[in-house]
Amino acid sequence: MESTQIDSTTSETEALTGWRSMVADLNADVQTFKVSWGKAMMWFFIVSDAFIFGAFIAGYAAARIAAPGAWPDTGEIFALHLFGADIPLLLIAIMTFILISSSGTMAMAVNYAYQGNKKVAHRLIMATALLGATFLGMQVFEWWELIGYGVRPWENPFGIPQFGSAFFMLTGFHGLHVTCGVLYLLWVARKVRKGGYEREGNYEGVEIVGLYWHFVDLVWVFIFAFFYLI
Amino acid sequence: MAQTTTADSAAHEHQVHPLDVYFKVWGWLFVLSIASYVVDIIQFDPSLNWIKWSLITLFAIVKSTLIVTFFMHLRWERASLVYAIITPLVFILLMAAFFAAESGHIADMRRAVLGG
Repeated sequence: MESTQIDSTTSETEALTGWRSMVADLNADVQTFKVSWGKAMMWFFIVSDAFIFGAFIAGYAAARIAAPGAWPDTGEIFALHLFGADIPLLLIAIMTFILISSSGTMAMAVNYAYQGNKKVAHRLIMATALLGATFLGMQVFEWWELIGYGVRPWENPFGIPQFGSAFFMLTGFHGLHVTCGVLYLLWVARKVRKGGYEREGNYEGVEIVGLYWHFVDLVWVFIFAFFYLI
Repeated sequence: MAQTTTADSAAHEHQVHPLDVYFKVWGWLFVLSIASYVVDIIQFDPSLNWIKWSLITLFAIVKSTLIVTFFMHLRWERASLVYAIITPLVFILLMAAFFAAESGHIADMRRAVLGG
């Protein structure tokens, strides 16, 4: 008798939207977040990870504002010599486009997975992982170049040493996330191919890896803007 | 939007949306990235650099909003989840503002005490 009553209350709050839905969801004796635990936990991880990256970027800004000397010109340092001319930030621009493209293929993969199209979803997740690996390869090249120039976390031949520590911290921690993301994507792709999600009758695992991957792209948006461009 | 009620309720539980939404967002992300790159390459008078920085920041905020809203499906989630995710992020901005103010003060003190 009582359980029927709870069910009817739940369906009533489900119909609400906007602020009313939030007030209803935050009431006692109801489930607050009407999503699966996997999705809720991935979102909590993303919010806490956003705090870590937020702290890194705020710390970088603090070091740069208080820096006792001129900040090096990132346009010159990250220029790529092509067709007899130095094109500023070309490698970084290509890396940005690769990561945005991987976010697009990931979004499509989630769509095809929910449609139950195992084959296309698997291919799109593999494409996402491949683009992520390409991004990583270019980042390794960039690190190789800068280490070759003599940039270290504690020194920098182009100017003040704070640049070196900010560069290795920001891109290194982001690169670590991309590395984990590629491995996570490969694991999900394998499960899609082997029919694991199909047997469970729920492809939400693809959406959850998608949330993580889009977050990695989101962090790059800010690193690209605040570290490389400004 | 010519979907039946069953498809709509399925879309509510699982995030299935028309692909053209993703293609539009994808296109905008490319356009905004190119725009911020172009703004960076253009040589501004140093006194007008704040315009360049404001534009780059604006493009970054629009890009991240697009990703969170459409790719991460927050557009279609319930308000309780959306606000639980968005509100804590305000504190990051607050922390960055405090850090910046403190650093500006340190830089001013250095100039006042050590000169240059």
